[in-house]
Amino acid sequence: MTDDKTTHFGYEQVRVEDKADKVAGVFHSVAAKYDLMNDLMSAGIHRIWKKFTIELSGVRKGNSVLDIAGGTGDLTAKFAQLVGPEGKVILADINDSMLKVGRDKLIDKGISGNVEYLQTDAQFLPFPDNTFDCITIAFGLRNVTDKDTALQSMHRVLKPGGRLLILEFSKPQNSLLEKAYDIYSFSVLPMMGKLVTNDSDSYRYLAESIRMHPDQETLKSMMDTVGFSQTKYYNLTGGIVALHKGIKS
Amino acid sequence: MIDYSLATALTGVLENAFNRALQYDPGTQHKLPSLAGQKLGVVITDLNCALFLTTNEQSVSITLVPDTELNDIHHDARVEGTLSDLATLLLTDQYSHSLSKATITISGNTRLISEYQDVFSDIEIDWEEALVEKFGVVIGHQFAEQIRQLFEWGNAQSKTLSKKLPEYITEELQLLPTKTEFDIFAQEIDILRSGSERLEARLNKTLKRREKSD
Repeated sequence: MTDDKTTHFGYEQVRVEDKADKVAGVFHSVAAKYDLMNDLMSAGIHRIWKKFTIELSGVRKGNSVLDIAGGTGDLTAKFAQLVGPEGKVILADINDSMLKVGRDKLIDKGISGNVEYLQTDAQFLPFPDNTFDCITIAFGLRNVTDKDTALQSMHRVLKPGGRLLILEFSKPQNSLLEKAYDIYSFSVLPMMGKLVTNDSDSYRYLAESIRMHPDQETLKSMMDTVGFSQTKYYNLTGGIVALHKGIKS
Repeated sequence: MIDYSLATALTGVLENAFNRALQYDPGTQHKLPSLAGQKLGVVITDLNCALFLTTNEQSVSITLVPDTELNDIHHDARVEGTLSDLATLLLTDQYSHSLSKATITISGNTRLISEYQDVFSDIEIDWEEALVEKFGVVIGHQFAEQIRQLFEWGNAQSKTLSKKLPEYITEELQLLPTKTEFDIFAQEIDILRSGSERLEARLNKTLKRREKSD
C-alpha cells in the first residue's frame, strides 16, 4: 500500500476499497479456463510447485486444513486424501466463480465428506482462534489488499505449532533468468491470455501483480513481524516461485 | 544448491517408475501391506534433502523435502548417508554387511529399513521408459544413462566391498583376528583345555588317595 487511501492493482494505483472488486473481476473472467491457463503458462510446472507445498505441509490423518484462495481445488484434493475421514479441509476463496469451479471439480473426482467450501476474505477469516493444523495459500497472497492483515488473521486461526505455507510468485535469483522472465510475462502471457480466454488484460494484471508482490526476504520479515517463528523460504525454479513457511509458536 | 522443482519432478518419476514396476511384480507387491502406515526417511546428506517413503496396499509414495524439514515430518525410521552410500545400501542383499560402512547412520525402527531394502533390492525398474515419458526422448535418455552409471558404480562398489571388507576389518581395523591368528589361538585353547583336564584328573586322584588314608 502506498498511503491510507490507495493501493496497487498491478501497476495501476486504485482506491483501497476498489481493489477487491477489481481482483474479483479478474478471477470471474479467468475461472472457467483457470486450470488450462495454469498448465499452458507454466508448462505444467505449477503441479510440481504445488506437490512440493504438499510435501512440506506435514499434513497427516485427522488434521484440519484451511486452503485459502484455494480456487479450483488442486491442493484441497490432495489434502482431503491425506487427512482422511477423521480430518477436515476447508476450501476458501473470496471469489465465488473460482469456488464453484473448484467444488465441481472435486465432486467430479469423488472427493467429498471431509471437504467444506467457504467464500471468505483472507483478511477476515471467520474462524475461532487456534482452529487449524495447517493453512496454505497458493498464488493468492499477492491479490490480497492488505497482506499484513491477512497474515495476522491466518496467525490467529492457526493452532499453536500449526504451519502456514505461502506459495507465491517471487523474485528470480538470477539476472538472466529475470530478463527472460520479464519478456515471457509481459509479452507471451497476455498474448496467450488473448488467444485462449480472449482476455489479455487479466494476464497483464498477473504479470504486474507479481512484480508488485514482496520479494522473498520482505515476505519472510512480514511473517516474522506478525509472530510466526522458524520462518524460512525455498526458491523454486530459480526463484520465479517461492514457498514460505512459518510456525505459530 | 539443489533446485527443489527439479528434485520434486525427479522424485515423481522415481515414484511412477517404481509403482509401474510393482504392477508387474506381484511377489514384491505382496510385501507392501506389512509396511503400510509406516514412514521411512532417507536423508541424503550430500544433497541436503530427504526422501520419505510410505506405502499402501499396492503402491509406494515417495516424497522429497529439504533436510531442514526433517523434524517437522513424522517418520518411523531414518537412514542417513551420502547418495553413493545409500545406493550401495539399496543394492546389497545383506543388511548387516551394508551397515559396516560407518558413514551410514540409522535410527528408529531398524526392521522397517530392512524390509524396505528387501522390497527395493528385488524390483526391476525401467528407468528409461519413466524418464522419457516425463522429460522427452533426448533428456530422458541422458538421465537414464546417468542412473545406469550410478547403479553400475554401486554394484561394483558392493562387489569390491564384499572382497575387501574382511581384509579391512582384520588388517586395518583389527576388530577381528585373521584366520591364522584364530588357528593359533584355537591350538592354544586346546593345549590349555588338555592341561586343565590333566590337572583335574590329578586333583581327583589326590583327593581319593586322601579319603582312603583317612
